[in-house]
Amino acid sequence: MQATKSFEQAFLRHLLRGFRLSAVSYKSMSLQERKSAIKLSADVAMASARGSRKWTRGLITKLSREDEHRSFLRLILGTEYGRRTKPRHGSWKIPRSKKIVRRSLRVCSRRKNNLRAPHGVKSGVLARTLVEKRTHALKRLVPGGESLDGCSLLDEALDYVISLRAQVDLMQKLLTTFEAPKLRALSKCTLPERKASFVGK
Amino acid sequence: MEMNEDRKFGLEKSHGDHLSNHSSGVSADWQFNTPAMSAAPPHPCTAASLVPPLTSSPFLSAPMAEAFVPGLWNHHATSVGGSNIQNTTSAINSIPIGRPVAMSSKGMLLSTPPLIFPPSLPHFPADSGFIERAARFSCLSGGGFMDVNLLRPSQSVAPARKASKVVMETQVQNSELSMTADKVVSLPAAYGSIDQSRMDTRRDRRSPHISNSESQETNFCEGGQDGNVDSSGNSSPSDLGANKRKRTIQDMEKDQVQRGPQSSSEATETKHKVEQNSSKHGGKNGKDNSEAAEEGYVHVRARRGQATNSHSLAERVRREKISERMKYLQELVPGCSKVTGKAVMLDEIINYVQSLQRQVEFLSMKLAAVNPQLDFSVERLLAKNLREFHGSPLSIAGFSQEMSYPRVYPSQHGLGHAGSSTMVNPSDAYRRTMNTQLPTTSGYKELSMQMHNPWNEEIVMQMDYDANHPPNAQEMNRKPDGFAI
Repeated sequence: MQATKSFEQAFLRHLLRGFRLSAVSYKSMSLQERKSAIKLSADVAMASARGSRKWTRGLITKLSREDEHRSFLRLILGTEYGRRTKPRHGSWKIPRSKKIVRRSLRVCSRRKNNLRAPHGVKSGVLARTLVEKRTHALKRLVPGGESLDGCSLLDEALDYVISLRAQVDLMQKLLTTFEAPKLRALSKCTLPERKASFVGK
Repeated sequence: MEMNEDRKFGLEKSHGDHLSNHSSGVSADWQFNTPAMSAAPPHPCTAASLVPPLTSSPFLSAPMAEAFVPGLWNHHATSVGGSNIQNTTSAINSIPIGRPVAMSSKGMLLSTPPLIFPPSLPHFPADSGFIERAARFSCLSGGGFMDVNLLRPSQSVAPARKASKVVMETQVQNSELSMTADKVVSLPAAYGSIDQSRMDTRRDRRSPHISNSESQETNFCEGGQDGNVDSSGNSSPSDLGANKRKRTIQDMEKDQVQRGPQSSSEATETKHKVEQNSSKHGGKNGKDNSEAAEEGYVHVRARRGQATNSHSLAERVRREKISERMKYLQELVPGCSKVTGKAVMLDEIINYVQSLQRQVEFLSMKLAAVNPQLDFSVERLLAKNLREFHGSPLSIAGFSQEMSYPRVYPSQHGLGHAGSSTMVNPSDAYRRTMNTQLPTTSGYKELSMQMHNPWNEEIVMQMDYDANHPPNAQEMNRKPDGFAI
């Protein structure tokens, strides 16, 4: 499965827009800050280019939790910001503390395992616990995946993987675009020298 | 009584072979005695087929007739052979008058059965031996029928006959069901040559039995095999056999319903037990198959040998959906084609997602390091690259001036004007030199081959070109010319 061209176009557009927006304070930033700014604009670009999906909304909400990002987000998304971050009607998530939920799950699973242990470890139970553990890990990885059940989680993971791949591809291309002149700039020389250097290679 | 029985048994042993041969020979005449029937313990026969046993039993018992006290005739007849027993006992019991007639001559007996047949029935010789044997038969025919048989022995023949008929049906059904219970049903041909071959081998193995049982079934189900309309449009042609068998079962159910509430209730009782049994060991296979191969079905159909609760159906749908998604993810994640199993697949997916996320971080770090002034050189660089890597003319019509543009302008203007101007010239220089050198330099070609077409034309076409830099405006105007070349 490939990300569509329109997706890549929109992604790039938003990305560059984000770069331009964040460039205001660019000079004063350290490397780390710049990196996080770039990453932020990349993520936002990916989410806004994809449209409205569970993981995009989850990603945007996650990003907007930090106040500093919010203005940026509002700038980028504009009117869509309000639309994207407000919860949908159907998927009202009961606010639960993750810690408590995790602890209770651990207790339940431990109780289950203790009950079954006397009978000997059945392969079915083992397989199921493995799958459950991994599903939880995946839920944590995919933004907005906590409230999804197994089937739709896989759906969102699929979509997320495709967009991530497109993001990586685009950023790599950007990098080569930037690095190419840099490389040439490094070998800063006049025309004949450069010619020679190229021929030499 | 016991002595008589012993003697009877002794006699039986001596004449056992003869009798069995005789009975087998006779049984060949019986209406429904297929090879499978003879292979299986002989079943009690239907009402219609009681006539031949009546004719046969005198053959069997005639040689014995002189040897035995008439009172013993019943016991002996019961001991003769499996299916004969109930028939003969019923036959015997239905011929209270005919006993002396049978003893005298065979021919007379042949004529008598029709008269005697609609019977008023004397009571069965409900001796322990008979009950034993009945119980044994019920065990042989399949569990759960014991109650059916044991209930009846002391009753009249007609219900016994009916019961035996029911037992017969359910036996056939049970044998058929158990044979095909763990069969894989209705896999689309596209999925799983493995499953298909598995199904085929099973079907081939079972086919002799099935043909026999099906031929049996024809007695019970009219048009059981002919009236098989295509069960579902989705089933592949190779599954017609399996579907046919399913149909015959359904037809059997229908016939049982027709035959009367009593028999149907018993049949359904036993069928539930059978279904439970079959679902137990068929369900597992079904589950495996559903996980191994997905259906292309839109609607859900209860598979053969599987419980048809709403729970299990919904669960099966859910499992199929999950396996479908797993399949897509397998295609997506590199190096996962050989991996099977949910846990390992999930592991791979998690690793892949993590690696992608780490790559994004790394790339953003690199981007931050590469360009301290990220903003304004981007588009120009992109345009440059576009021109460098694509010789084809590009339409600039796709350029869109975005609304954020005027907002950005003052900031950029204030920020790095000096920087931008300095950037402009070298980039101009580079561009011009690159343009001139484009076709010739090997090094450049190397470079271009390394970064072979990183940008799709359409993507970069939509780039915003900021006309911030007036000196660049000329370049922009010139760019179309450059592209046109």
